[in-house]
Amino acid sequence: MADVPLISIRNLRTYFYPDEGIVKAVDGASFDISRGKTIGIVGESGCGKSVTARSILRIVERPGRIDEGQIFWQPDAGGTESGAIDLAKLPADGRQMREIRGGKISLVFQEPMTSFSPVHTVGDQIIEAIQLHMPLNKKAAKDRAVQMLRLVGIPRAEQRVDEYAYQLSGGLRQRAMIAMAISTDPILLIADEPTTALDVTTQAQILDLLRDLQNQNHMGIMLITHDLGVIAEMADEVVVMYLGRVVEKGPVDDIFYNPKHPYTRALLKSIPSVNATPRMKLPTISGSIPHPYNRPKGCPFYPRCPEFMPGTCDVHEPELIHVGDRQDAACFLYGGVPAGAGR
Amino acid sequence: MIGYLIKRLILALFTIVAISILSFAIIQLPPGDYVDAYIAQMSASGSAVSQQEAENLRIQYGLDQPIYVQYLKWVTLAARGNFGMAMEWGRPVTEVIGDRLALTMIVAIASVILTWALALPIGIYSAMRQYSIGDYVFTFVGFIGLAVPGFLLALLVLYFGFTLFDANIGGLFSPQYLDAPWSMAKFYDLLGHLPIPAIILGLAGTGQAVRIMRANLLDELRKPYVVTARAKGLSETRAILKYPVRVALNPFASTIGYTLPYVVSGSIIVSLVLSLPTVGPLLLKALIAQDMFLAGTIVLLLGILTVIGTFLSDLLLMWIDPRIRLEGL
Amino acid sequence: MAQTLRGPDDAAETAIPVDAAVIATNVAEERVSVASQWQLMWWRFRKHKLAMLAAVIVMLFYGMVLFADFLAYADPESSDAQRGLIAPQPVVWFDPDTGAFFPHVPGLVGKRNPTTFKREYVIDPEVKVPVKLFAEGFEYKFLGFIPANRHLLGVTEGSAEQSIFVMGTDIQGRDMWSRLMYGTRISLTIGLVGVSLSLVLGIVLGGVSGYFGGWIDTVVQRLIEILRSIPTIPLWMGLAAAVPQDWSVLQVYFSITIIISLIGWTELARVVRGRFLSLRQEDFVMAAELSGCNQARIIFVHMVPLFLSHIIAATTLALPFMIVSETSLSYLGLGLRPPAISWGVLLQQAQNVQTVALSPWLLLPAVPVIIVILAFNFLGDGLRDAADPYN
Repeated sequence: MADVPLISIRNLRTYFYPDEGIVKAVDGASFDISRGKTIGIVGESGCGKSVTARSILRIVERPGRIDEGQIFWQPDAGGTESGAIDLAKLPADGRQMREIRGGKISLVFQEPMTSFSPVHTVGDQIIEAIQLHMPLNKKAAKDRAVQMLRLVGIPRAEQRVDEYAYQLSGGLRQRAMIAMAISTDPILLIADEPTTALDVTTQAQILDLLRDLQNQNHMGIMLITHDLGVIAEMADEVVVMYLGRVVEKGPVDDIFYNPKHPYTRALLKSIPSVNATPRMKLPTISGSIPHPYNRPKGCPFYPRCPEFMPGTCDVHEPELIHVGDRQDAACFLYGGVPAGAGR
Repeated sequence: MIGYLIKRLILALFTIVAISILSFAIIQLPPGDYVDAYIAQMSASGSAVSQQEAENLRIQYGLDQPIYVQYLKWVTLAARGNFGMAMEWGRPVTEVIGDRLALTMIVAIASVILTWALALPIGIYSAMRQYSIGDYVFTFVGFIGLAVPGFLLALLVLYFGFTLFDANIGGLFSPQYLDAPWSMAKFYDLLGHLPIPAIILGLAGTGQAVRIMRANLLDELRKPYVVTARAKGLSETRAILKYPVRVALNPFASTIGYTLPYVVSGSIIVSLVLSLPTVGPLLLKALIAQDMFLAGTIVLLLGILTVIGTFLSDLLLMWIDPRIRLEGL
Repeated sequence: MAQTLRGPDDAAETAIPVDAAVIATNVAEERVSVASQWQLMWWRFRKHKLAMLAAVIVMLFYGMVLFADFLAYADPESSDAQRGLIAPQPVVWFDPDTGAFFPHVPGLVGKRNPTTFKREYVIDPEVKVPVKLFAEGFEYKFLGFIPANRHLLGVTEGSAEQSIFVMGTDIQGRDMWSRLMYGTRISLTIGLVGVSLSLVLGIVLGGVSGYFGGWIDTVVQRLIEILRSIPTIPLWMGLAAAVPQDWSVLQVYFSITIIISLIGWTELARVVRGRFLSLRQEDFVMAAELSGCNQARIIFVHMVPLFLSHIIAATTLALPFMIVSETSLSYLGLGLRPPAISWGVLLQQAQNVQTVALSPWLLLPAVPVIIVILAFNFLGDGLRDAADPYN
């Protein structure tokens, strides 16, 4: 029997309400995060991956809010589904949510340059995280902070702990962020584009670090990226998002070797490969992502889809349906066409 | 850090020298010299001064020497605390100035402190609750401070105080303490009278400070480290106060340096309107009467005190911003 | 089933319905990308309703400057001690009894005050003095050389100086409204001239400092810092007091202008210097140097157009400061002197609280001061945002 998932997102809708109109950043996303495993969320910029992560942590900024949906959180490996808490219903700034945020679920994200406060030492910031979630006094917290810095591979950790963020290089800063995130022994680590701003060598090191930490702590990782290579290397399961919806999801091998959704296929085709025929034009996806206020009716991908079926795809919205053993795709090519649709 | 301190110190010294030159220039500006003015005054009261007397006076005051010699003479005397005679009063300048200089600085500093104490919380509130009613109210009040020049504001306050409340606002002391020697009671009386001049003086500065703080904070609130703070599990209030507010304070603190001279300047005019026993009314009288030693000395001392105040605020900035402490930026 | 992905040229070959909205956005984007810098600025500026309103107000005020003679109806110098401190007589447009269009003001009746035995004029609402629009009045020269004598308001009989007092009179019996018109002219033009001088100083010193850098920059920088750390009002008061009493009105005008321009140049210099410094690093400057442009060409053709808009915005924001400086100095008696008229000179009459309490209309010149300051600030803010919305 499979474990109860760590996080179960059901039909999440996070909308933003600026003056100009509604932005449906996440528009009906559903997927599960398993414990101890890495799930990769992949998609172009603006597809809603980061907002999903922020929704889980309940730090979606104004003018956004979770309009619908549930985020079931079951930290107990032996626990039941009914015993899970719906994070979407908790008050965002309330005690319960704040204990989870940073304690049980930690966030590492993209901006190593500016994700630390410039006027506090790195150590102070890590110690603060530790003391927020663990009953340690200042000295013990500091020792733990140094220990964490060492764990992530920062040399001379005892000295570095008293330095300011601007005194560390980009790679070291990202490691320090990871140190801060894992210092509270989280069950789930959300990594939002953790390596995008780093050079390739550092990127490989950071990914290795994450994998090691996961093996040590049996931590779940939600890895958000637009880089398919990173997904291939790290993820156990993959979720493909487009314009706020999940268009395909499944085990990493199935997605990579047997993609079903036209978008997934196009993404994979567009990766330059050493093995491709030389002097062939690199395939791209025609068109561009629609303006958030100008979303197409029906399937969000239809204006760019090579398999577009007029009368169906531009009228009805596809739901996720099983297309494989554990693979789901939201595409009318595989059924689910409402009666009376199409020509 | 030491490098930074030394740089600021040297700059301060240069500024003081510049002020002394400018003050001296003011003294020399009006046509004619001290003795001419003395003669004019004497003849106005009916007595005449003979040519010989005039000559003697000139030699006595060194007025027949080239200008730089006069300057040096004046500077050396000033350094010893001898600032010359105030003509109208016939008393040494220092006596005439008395504690007015101290009072001027007290009013100015009170105004700066008030500005800060008000602007910071209001600025933070405005940034956090953008477009709320409170935000609009504060913005409006800020505009008043911006649009109404200090002296006009003082005038209007006086007018409304008089017509609406039948009160005679103005002055720093109740009548019984005006010429009394200093005591705790007098000090409390002063504190009681300080708020109105301080607010009038500070309103323009407060309005601007609120705008700067609001803009700074809005900028900082968008930055990633705020997300980090929230993601750690800090409550919203603590996360905001501890991180972006702290960072937004920095550029703010660096503006203190220029607030003091601005406020001291403004206090001259406002104190004229409100009839405060500060240096302002005295300076005006001195200038109109062409009592140049008095006027020049006031300008000099005012300038020096301002430079000292600015230097102290630089020290404060150093304490606040670790980047300066470590790298002497 | 072979999947062929389309490249960009293939889109034309098959009839895929492209989103109309997508096309519309592209057209708009193109329009934006070919618009000139000034057009872009104007579009952005237009969005600021407040700034647009401020611009209109400013234009109205400068219209007043041009038409001051016409808008005034009484000779500003015509004084009459007996008509001192008369309260404002508002113009009534319609006859209260008949409802017909009959512009008039309540008349004045002279009475002898029983206590002081002085003749005083008191408003008598029963007496109706008809008011004529575009009436004839005292003579003036429009634009300095066209002789004219028409004014906005006037009376059919007698002289305007003795009958209409829309904003009351001052202590010497001079009509406040007419004096306000002339005061507006002087205050606003002094601000303009002062700002121009400041601008020249600021551009020269700031530009030289920012462009050449090195020790020139250090010297100018220190100079600016020193000036900023000194309380400047006492200094300018000293300078203003040193203007000899016997100088003519025009000489005084120009010396005051020079003094206030000395007060404000540091801000402009800082803005100019900052712009030059940041632009100097840009690659296009190096490209211009490498292709053999001389320094003047680099500065005026390549660099200046980029921050011209910022300069305009900074200048607009500096104007109210100039105007306030002159007003403050004149209010203290150190600036412009009678017979010159400016807002500050007018407000000088309002120094005594008791007097003002009895004759609050003496404070009315404060109103245009506040309005103009607000207007210039909003205008300057709007220009600054339009020039560079990211700053």
